[in-house]
Amino acid sequence: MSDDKHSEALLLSRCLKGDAEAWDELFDRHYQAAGRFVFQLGYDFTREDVEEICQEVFLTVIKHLDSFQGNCQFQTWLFRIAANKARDYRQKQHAAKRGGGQSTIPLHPLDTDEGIGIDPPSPLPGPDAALLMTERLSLVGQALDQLPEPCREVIDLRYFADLSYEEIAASLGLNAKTVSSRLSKCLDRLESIAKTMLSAEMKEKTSAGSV
Amino acid sequence: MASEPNNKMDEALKAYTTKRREDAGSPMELHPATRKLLQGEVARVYAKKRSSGASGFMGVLLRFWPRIAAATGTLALVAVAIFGIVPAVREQKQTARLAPAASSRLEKFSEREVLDREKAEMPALKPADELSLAQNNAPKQSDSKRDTAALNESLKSNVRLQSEDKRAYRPREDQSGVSAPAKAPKPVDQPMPLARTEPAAPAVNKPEDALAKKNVEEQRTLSYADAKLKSAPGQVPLDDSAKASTSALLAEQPASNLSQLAAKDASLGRASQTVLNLQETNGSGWYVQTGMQQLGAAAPLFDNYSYGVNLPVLNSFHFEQSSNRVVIRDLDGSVYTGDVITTPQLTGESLKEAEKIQAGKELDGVRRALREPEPQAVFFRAAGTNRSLRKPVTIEASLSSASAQPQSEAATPPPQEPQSRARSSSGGAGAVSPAQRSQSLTQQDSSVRFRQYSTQQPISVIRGRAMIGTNQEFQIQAVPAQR
Repeated sequence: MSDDKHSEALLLSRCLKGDAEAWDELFDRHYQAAGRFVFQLGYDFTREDVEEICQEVFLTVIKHLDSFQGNCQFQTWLFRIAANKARDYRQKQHAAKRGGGQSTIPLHPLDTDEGIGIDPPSPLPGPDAALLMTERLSLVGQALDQLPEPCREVIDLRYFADLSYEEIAASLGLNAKTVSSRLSKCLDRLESIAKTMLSAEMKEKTSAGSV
Repeated sequence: MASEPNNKMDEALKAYTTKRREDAGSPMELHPATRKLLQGEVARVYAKKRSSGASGFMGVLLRFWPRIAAATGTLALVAVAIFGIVPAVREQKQTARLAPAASSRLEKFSEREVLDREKAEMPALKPADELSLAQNNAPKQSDSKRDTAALNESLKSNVRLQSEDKRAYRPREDQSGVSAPAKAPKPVDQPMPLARTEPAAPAVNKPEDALAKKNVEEQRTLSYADAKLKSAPGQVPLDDSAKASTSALLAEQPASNLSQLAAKDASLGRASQTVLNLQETNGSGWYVQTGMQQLGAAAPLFDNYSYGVNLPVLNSFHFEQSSNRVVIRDLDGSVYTGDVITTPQLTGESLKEAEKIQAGKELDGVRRALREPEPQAVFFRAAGTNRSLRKPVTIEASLSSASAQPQSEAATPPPQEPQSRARSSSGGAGAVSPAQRSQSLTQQDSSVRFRQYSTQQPISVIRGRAMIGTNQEFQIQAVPAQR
């Protein structure tokens, strides 16, 4: 653990000197984790969204690496930047949808000449179960989007970044007990939001069925 | 560690996370285009930081040059303001310093009024003022000794002068056998000369010991006069108290020792001038003459004839000296005050002037031969603020005074002349008989008279230099104005 920290400190010091190889090593070490983390932050994020967000995240790291004070791990600091960039991206996306904006177009062209990609068989459950699961998780994702930012931040770091309470506390500059209590309250709030959304959806379905 | 309070949401979130990770598929790789973009950004950002950080001081200078420029400009403004304000503050201080001087000047004016009133009352004493006392009065020898002892105590020098009885006063005409006419009272505006005869045993009636005693007394008198002329050449100030004491002394004991009076004047005087002159009577001894002139209202006006002075500074000015205090009033109202300084304190031109005067004294013999009066110099240093220029002016100069009598008129001997004669007479006492001495003195009858200050106004020349501010210097060569 200490060796990792030491090597990371050396890598960051080299990056601060503008060493291109160090930066390449930093990208290779943290890009996958950052992409996976960002992908979980939005229930409707695509890989292209994640790549765009990760690009913004690493540009911010390049510009502001000297402001990293080493109070926490570099990855934790990176995830906080990623969470902020993902939030901004979501807000921008929602604004575009409200304004009739166009959906993103993938940069990578499809492999086939006809424009129809390969559609391998899905390992997921059957269509009904998958639909139910998708709807349920989609509901959780939407409820997460409606959480206020402090709750969203704690939940992101805890469930999507797999950080311990101590790491979250170090990252946010809080006490571990404070993090625990805040997480508990945020989960209660998330549940209430989810219930509200679920009841509203049930009402819509009931009204639609009656009609 | 706090337990998860909400298991349902915890499970839901874990399921959501698992599903999203499954949805993410294969691990995301950094696209080469994105890597190139990021490396380009790295090169851009850190190349700029390297260039700014590598040059050290220059980097800091380039980075903060607006602040540095603003700070430098502010400092320059502050410095200019300070250098502009400090001289003004100094001038204000000098002006403030002049304010008490002006008030003291007013006090002096009031003092002068009092003195003028007293001077107007002085003619009542005139007949008794000019006293020429004969030497040969044996019954008063004890008085002479007593006065001499008192003088020794007061002057702390080896000068002793014996006073003579008022009744023994006889003018030269008396001694030459001519009856003395009644003295006409002097004009009021003339100064009051006082004359006292020097004590000596009568050469005719006394034996040799009396003659030797007389010679000793003459030498003492001359040494006193010498010391007096050197220390305060021609001027011994007198203030109110001194004047009052002088009047009292004249009223009570008109024939008392004049030297004692002069010494008292020197210790007390301020606003008057006392001139000591030595005169030789007809073979009987020496007179010590004191002329007093009130200063202040009649302060002499000097004109500066120095070449190249085009400034309103000291072109014409009044000069006053009271004791060791010197006051110069310029025509524009500027007042420069200072003190008489002794030779060790002299600097620059004043020192040169002093050296000239000293060198001139070496020509004493020549002067004696030519009957040229010996210059007497008072060195002074004064300072003040010129009102026209509003600049401080510092003056270092000397006031040289000499008799204005033409050289052709050999009537009045210079102050040193009687001394030389006295020395010759004392040195050759056995060679010169009293009859020969009486004859020679009769030939110099016209020279044996009082030297009155008013009738023989000395030519005073002020030479020196003045400094305006700190760098503008000019010479002063001023003589009394012929107006």
